[in-house]
Amino acid sequence: MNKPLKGFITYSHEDTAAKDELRKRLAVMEQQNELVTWDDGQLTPGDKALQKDILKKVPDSNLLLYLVSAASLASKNCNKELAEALKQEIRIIPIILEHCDWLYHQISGFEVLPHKGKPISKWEDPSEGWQNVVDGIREAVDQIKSQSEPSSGKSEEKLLAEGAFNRGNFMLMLGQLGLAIESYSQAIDLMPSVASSYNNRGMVYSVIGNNDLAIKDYTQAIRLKSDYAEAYNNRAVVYGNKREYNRAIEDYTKAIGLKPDYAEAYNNRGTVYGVKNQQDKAIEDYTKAIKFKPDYAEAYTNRGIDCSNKGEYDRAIEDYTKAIALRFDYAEAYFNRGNAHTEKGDTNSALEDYSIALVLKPDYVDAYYNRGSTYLKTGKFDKAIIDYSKMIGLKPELAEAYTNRGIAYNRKGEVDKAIKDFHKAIQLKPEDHMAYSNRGIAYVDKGDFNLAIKDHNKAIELNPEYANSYYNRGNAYVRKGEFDKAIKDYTRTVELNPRDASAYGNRGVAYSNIGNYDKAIEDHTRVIALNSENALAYYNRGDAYHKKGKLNLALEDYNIAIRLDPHDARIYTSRGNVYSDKGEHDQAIEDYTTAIKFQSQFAPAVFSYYNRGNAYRRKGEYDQAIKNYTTAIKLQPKLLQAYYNRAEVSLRIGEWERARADLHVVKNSGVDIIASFRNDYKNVEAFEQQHRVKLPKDIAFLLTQRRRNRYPKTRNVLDVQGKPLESPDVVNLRTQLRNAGTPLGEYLEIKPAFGINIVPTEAFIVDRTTRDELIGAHPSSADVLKPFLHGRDLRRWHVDAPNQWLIFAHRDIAINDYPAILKHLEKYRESLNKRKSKQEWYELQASATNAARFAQPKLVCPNLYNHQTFAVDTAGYYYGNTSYLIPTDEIWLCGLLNSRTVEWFYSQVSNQLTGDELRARSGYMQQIPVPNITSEQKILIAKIVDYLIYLQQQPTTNSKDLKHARDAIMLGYFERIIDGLVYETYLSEELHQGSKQFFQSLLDEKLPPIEGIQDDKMPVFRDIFELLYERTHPIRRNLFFLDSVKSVRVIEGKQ
Amino acid sequence: MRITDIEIKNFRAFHGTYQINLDKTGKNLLVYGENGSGKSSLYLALKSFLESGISADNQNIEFENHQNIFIEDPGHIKLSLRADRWSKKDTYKWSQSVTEEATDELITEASKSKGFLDYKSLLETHYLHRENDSVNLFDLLVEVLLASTISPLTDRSLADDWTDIQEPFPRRGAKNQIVNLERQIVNFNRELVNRLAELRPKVSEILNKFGYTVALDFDFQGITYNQNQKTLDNQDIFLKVGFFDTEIHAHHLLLNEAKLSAIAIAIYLSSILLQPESELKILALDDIIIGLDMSNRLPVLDILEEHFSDYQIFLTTYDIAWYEIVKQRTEQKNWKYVEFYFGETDEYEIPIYVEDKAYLEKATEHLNANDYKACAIYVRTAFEAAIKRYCERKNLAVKYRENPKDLKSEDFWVPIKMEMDESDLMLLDLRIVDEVEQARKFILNELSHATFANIYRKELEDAIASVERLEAALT
Repeated sequence: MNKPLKGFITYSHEDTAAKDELRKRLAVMEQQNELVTWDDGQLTPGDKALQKDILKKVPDSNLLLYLVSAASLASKNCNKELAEALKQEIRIIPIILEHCDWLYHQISGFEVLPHKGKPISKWEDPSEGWQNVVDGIREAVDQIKSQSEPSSGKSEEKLLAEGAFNRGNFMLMLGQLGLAIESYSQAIDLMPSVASSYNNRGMVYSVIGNNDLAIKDYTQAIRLKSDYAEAYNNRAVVYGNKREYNRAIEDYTKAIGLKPDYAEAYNNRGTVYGVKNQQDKAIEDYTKAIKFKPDYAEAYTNRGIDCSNKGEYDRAIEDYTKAIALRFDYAEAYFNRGNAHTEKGDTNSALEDYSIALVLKPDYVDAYYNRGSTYLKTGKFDKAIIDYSKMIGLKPELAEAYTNRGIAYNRKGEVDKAIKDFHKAIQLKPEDHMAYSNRGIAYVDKGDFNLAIKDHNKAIELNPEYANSYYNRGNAYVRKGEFDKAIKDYTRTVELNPRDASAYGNRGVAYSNIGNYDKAIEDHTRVIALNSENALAYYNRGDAYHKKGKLNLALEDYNIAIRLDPHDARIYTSRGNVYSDKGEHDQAIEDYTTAIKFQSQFAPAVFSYYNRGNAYRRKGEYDQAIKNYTTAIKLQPKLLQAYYNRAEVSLRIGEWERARADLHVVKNSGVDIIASFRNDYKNVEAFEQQHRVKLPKDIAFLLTQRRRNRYPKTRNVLDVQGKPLESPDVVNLRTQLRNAGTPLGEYLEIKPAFGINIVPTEAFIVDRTTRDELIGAHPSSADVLKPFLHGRDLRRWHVDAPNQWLIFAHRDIAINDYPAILKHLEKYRESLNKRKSKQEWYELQASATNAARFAQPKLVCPNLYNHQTFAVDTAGYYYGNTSYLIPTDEIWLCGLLNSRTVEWFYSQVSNQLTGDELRARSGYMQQIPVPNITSEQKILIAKIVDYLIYLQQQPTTNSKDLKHARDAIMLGYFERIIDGLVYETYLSEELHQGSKQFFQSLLDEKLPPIEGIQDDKMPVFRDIFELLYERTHPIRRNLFFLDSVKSVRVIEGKQ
Repeated sequence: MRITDIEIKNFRAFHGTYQINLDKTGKNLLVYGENGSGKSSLYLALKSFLESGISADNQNIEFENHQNIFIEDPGHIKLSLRADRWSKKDTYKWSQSVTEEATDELITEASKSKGFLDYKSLLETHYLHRENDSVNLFDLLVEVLLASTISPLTDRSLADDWTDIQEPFPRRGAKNQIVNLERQIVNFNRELVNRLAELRPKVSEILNKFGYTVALDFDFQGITYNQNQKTLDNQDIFLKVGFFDTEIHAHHLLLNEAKLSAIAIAIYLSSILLQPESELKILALDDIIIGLDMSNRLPVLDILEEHFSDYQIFLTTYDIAWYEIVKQRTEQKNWKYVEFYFGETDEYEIPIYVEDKAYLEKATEHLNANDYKACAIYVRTAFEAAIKRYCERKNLAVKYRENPKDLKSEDFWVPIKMEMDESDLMLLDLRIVDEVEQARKFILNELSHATFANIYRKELEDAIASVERLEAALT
């Protein structure tokens, strides 16, 4: 007689209705004597003290039916009953009534009802759900009976084994993997023939990544139970992890064969097909999986991915959307949908999806990467940088994150940061050609073309098939001006990627640069074939046609380019140039005018004004031309071509003043205006004939006569826009000199000034004979006759005694005291009267104060000179306004002012307004820095100046007779020593670094002061010279090697 | 301060990286090399290296212009310097990417006082203009020998000052320009006269070493500007030779090419001795003895020893006899001896250099590194060097070829093979002859230069052994 099994129902009282329903549905089994159930409802209501008794009923049962709901999971009593059942190793069957958190409760370790845990409340027809539950219970009852019958009751091993197994499940659920393995192993030890123990242990091994042990366990499970579909599925998963895809597919197929509605196996097999790039098969499998399990979100996602891979983005998006509908917190689905949107070009939707994915999963590295890349693509560099930085924070070893952040920095213009990132990427992944390639691009932006080329070389070495590396190296070569190499690289690019329009375009431009216009045109035509809307290609082809001289074809291209891009000033400029070449000046002017309207950084208005000026010039509208040039100059004061052309137009219309000024500006900037002029006209006569003008002599001279340089002056190199490129060395040196001392104007106690204005000279300046006559006529004349020098009479160091005298008739004298003088001046009365300034007709514009000034010791120099020409005047001579006077008794200043350092500085600041000659100008002179040096040093310099004053007066030092060459060299050598001393005052640090000392070496020699040398001084000087000139003397050595000092090289024009 | 290591990579003839070690003391270097073997490239490498710092706009000293044309991989020249054997080594590098700023004062200064003279400059003595039985040295002095001497006043070279006063000349009547030009000419004349006066005693002193007991003087009256013709006249410096107290005409016969070569060398070396010395003192003489008789060559060594003992000297020659003489006459502790040969592979020509005949060692090295091509080149070089030396030493009659470079190893080997002793027996062991003949078929024969495709280890080993035995037999 069959004894019925006892079933204990655990439930929350809130679910009493469900409990009753269950009992009702189990009635048949009860009638058939299969199962009797018990629940606390069978106790007398109100009997609360009996909780203990209820619990006592549990061990008595064979089955515990646990009605799972939010309420029962929360109930203490229910859990106590469950714990009791677990203790007794009673078979537990959870019955899921509604959605609740059971997955995270220990009952999830048991096989649940209805099938797969679909809650009763979710069944369309609840009775169907209940029936599923009843079927399950019946199965369990049969199982228990069949197991217990032969041996009439469970063996102890079996019970222990089941317990261990359940504990294993529970531990697995809790994530205690070690304990789970222990429990399963226990179960296996107790009952080695139970396949599920192996299967489950295999799962744990698989989770901890021990693939081999996992496979071993699954294989054992299959051996014990040949139809164990789940074990096949699980083993296949491990094979998949091990990339043994064929084996994996074999196992999945087996699992499916055993269990034709095995949705998971279909899904998993799909992923393997996906990996193997068999998208169609994969999609087929996912579709099956979805068919058998319509709420299978992962399968939707997976199908989406493979559709995406096939390029069917809409279908993919549909799938992802379904997956999201099934699982609203499905970050991966959002991420993948974002990717599909990206592929479709819908960046906004993509960004939205990535952002949701990141909200759901804040450490989602891939999502940061893709969102960053999307930002990068849409030009939102800051946001991209933030995303990549986040990524780097999460995964600092990821080279790609650095690479991409580098790209973002580079696009943003922060080249150094970019290079730093690429550098880091290369460190992390030395074989990453992308990082090299990108760093190469960054170096090009930085202007380091050689480094750029080096990086591209490396990138190419790492991946010779990556077309972009060639393209970018080509760009670097173009920037370097190596067009042949660039062309080779572009050619390689298009070989690898025949549709790369930019490569054709750039190659075309490179061809143009080497004068191969036919090839250039061919290339631009290709670009146009690839994209007929490419304005730039038409523009470039137009340019090539223009250079080839095909003006009409060029025009046609520019017309199309303008139609495609009506706001690009460059195109108008170029078309204007074509019109101009065709002689259609009005059209050209119109285009330049439009170009001015649309000016941009690529086509600044200044050039359009300049071009328009040229067009007007050719048209013969000179006023307009000058107006345009003037505007251009106002916008770009260093645009020398504009000055030159304005000068040329001014010459045509006889505006000499402006022409003269402009020509000087151009010439002084280092442009060979003679060559420019010859370019356009054979000679001055040709110009004069053509334009029917007669050029003033000085201008004609300016345009034909080459001046000679004695030694090289620093020449300005002009950049493409006509701007002089000043080397930073020059700029820095100027600053360094300024900082080394006090401006001369501040240093002096009395301001320097020019001599007096003497008009007309013939009246006031007389020669020796006249002077003697005047004194002879009346002795008082001697009082007002002053020895006088013109600027042109001055030499360096020493002022020779004058041969002319100035009649110093100023307002503080009584002219009647000097009858002879008055009589002399009377001869010039007419021209004296014509003077515009206010004074008596016989007076100079001067007073007694001037006399006092001339009487002082002073340094004098001519107003025009080639090299610094200061001399010491202690004799109180008089000067006109062709001389510049610095009142001082500090003789050493004469050495300073005649030095090369000061000459360089002065020529730098004073602009050299009169061509090669320097002009004394008080404003600039007063800027000359006077270095702060000790009085001992000043005395030493003064001593050498004294020597030079003496030497300058000797006939041999200036003789052209080569017999006296050595004496001339001596004079020059002492001047050179002054140069050395002055260098040391300004640049002491630099000189001392190279252990170049002049002061000390010279002090050591204890040279005699000039007063200390008696009688015939020349032999003494020759001895001193030979001593200092000796090959091994430190002075000679230091002078000889002076130009190893960088600043000296700049000053002496050697750099 | 001396050079202790030289590394040259992909510079002119140098294909790949070459290192020459001059020991910690920075020895002098004697180089023997066939023409085209790269010895002139070495000379040029040193010269360009030193000049790399001085002038940015001189085309010749852009590394790019010296890059070995067969290789894209950028080359460089590295020099390591030491003040003495105990001090730290500093290495300087010159390449395309190293800019002027990187150049040290030391190098810049060394460039200014260096001496670099090559045989090409001396060839000028062959084209000297002779007038009235005397020779006009103006061009040779101004454009070659004294060209790089520095004016103490302008601090520029004579050549630069000379260039400056040449065309274009000012327009007739352009008074200021003409005054300027004349002032420049006066200065130029003074400077040149001054240099010549300084040179005179030194040149005579050095010439005496050559065995010419004469006093030299230069007759220079100064160039003048001819305003009408727009020419620079009187570009004349005549040599005056004083013999004891009597001045004699520098007779045509007295001044043959060999003597003029000696005079030119004396002038050049004197000009260096008149200028201040830098810390790093380099004197490089590239084959300058070729114009000299043997009797005038040895004095060169004496002059170097007496006047340039604190210079580091680089001598090159393609004359093996002279090379051997210099080796004998110089001290090993001060000199390093290196030989350059001309190697050819199926792809390019390369210089092969070896320190003092250690070719077989090098060959074995390459064999062990499995570089069979290089090994073969060294074995062949060893073979050729051994037979050439032997022929020169024994004065064996070697077939005459106009260009020594055309001499084949056959030309040396045959006479050696056929050499008989007094009793008409072959001197060389027949077994060695056989071995060498065997090896020549594959490895030692120049004809195989371009067909190195299949070389086998065994053959190379045999060839090395054979040449070893041959070398032993020939010494």
